[in-house]
Amino acid sequence: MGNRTVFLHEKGGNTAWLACPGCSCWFPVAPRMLDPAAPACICPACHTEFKPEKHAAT
Amino acid sequence: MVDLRTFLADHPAAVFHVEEPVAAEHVLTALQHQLDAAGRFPIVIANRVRLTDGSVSDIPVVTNLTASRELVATALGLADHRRSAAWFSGRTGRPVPPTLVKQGDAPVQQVVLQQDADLGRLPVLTQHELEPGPYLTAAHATTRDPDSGVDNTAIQRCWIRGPRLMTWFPYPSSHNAYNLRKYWARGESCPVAFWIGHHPAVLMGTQAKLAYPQSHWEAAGGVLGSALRVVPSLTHGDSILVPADAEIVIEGFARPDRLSADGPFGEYTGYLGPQVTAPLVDVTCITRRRNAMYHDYGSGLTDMLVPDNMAMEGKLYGMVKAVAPSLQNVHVPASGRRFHAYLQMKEPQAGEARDAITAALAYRRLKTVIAIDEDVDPFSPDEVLWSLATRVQWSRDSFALDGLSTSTLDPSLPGGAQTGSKLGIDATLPPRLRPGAPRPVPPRAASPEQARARAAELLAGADAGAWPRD
Repeated sequence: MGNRTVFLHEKGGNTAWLACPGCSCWFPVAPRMLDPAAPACICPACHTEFKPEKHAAT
Repeated sequence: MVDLRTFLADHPAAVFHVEEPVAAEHVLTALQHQLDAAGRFPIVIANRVRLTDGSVSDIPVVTNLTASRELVATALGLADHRRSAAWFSGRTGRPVPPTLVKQGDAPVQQVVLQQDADLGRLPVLTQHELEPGPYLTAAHATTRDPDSGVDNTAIQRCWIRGPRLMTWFPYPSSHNAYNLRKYWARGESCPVAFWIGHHPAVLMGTQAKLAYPQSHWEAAGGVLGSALRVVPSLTHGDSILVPADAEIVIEGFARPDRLSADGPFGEYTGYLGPQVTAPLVDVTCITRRRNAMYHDYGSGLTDMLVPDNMAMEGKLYGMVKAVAPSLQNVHVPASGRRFHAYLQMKEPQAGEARDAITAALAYRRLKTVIAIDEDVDPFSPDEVLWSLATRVQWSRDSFALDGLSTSTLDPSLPGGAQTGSKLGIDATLPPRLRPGAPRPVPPRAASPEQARARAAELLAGADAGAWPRD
C-alpha cells in the first residue's frame, strides 16, 4: 500500500463540468452523469446530446 | 371559495401588474431577484407573456405569490407570521378528509385537452442562465403508494421537452420517488398528475412535512380548517385525485426506465443544481380553468423559500417540543435557505437546549441549529448574531455531528458524499442558581418603560424621510 495522506481541512468541489462539443458551453453535471450507463448529457445552450466520456470535462 | 383568484381579489394592493409584454425567458425571475434584494415582496402578475414562438399567451403568469411571510400568514388566517410554527404544527396534526367533487363539476376541468394538449401553449418560464429551457416550478407532482393507495403530492420541477413530453425530477429521497420506484419495480408505468395554482393556504397545507405514506389532502384540510375539494383526474380516475379548484392539471405516465438528462436548474440553495438523470413523463391530458392563471415559483428566491420554510418551522416545532418543553418558537430564515434554524427557548433546563438542537438536526436538510433565549428575537438577524457574539464559548457551547443525512444539493459537500457535517450552537444563558434569582450574567442595557414610551411619542411626530439608514 502506498503512502496516503488525508488532508481533512482542504476543500474539494463536488461538481463536474462538461464542455458541449457543439457550442463549447460549459455546464455543471452530477458525477453520475459521467457513468457510461447514464443517459446522454444535453447541452443547456444548444441541446446537443452527447456522451461525456468522449468530451472535455473537469 | 378557496382558490387563487379569490385570494388575489382580496389583496389588490399587494399586486404588481406587469402590463407590458415580457418574454417567458429570464425577465420575470430577474424582477424577483431585484425585489428580494430591495426587501419588497409584492405578488407579480404578468398579463402578457411572450411564448417562444413569438405569440403572446392569453394565460397570465402569477409569481412571487408567497414571497411575503405576512401575506402567507394572512392567507392562513394568522395575525402574526411570527407565531406560525406552533399553529402549523397543531393544524397539520388534525387532518380533515377531503371532499370529492364529480368530474365535470370541478373548475379545473372546465377545459380538457387531450390529443390537442400542448405544453408549449402554457407560459412556462425559463428562469436562470444555463437552464436548458422552460421549467414547471409550481407543479405539485401527485402520485399514490401502490401498496396502500395513499396519495402524495410535492412540488417537483419538470423541464418541458415537447408538446406532450417533459422530464420530472422527484428528488431521490422524496415520497414520490418511493412510489415511482415501487411501480417500476413491478414493471409498471407510474401514474402521475401535476396540479398548478391554488390559494396560498392550500399551497401551505400541501407542503406539510409528513410521514410515509400519509395523505397531503387530509393535512391540507387540517391547515384550511375545512375539507379540501378534490376531483378524480381524467386519465387516472379515483387513483389520482387533484384539487378541484386548482388552475391547471397535467396528467400522464412515467414509463419504466425512460430517463433523460435534466438541468442544470436553479435550486433553493441559490446555486444551480447540476444536470442529473430524471424520468420522462408522457402527457396524456391537460385540464384547466376557462380563464386559467399559470403559477410560477421563483426558484431559490423568497417566493419559494417562505412557504417551505414556514412548513419546516411547523415540523421542527413538533419534533423539538416533544423532547424540549421549554421550546417557544422556531424560525427557519430565508437567509439560510433551508439549512439553518433558530430555536427560541424559555429558561431551558440543564441539557435541554442540546436535546432540542440534536432533535432538530435529525431533520435531513438542517445543517446548523442555534438555540437562543426568550429575549432574543429569532426573526432579527442582528439579535441572533448578537447572541452568538455574547452568549457562546465555542469549545463549551458548540458541537458537530457528522455522518447525518443531508441534502446532496449542498454545494459545500465533498464530492460523492451522501451524509453531511452538522453544527449545533447553544446560545442560551446559564440557568438561574435558584428560583426567582437573576440569571448569573449581566443584565441587558435597557431603558425604563416610561422613557421608551416618551421616545416613541417623539419619533411619531418626526419627519424621518431624509434620515440616513446606514
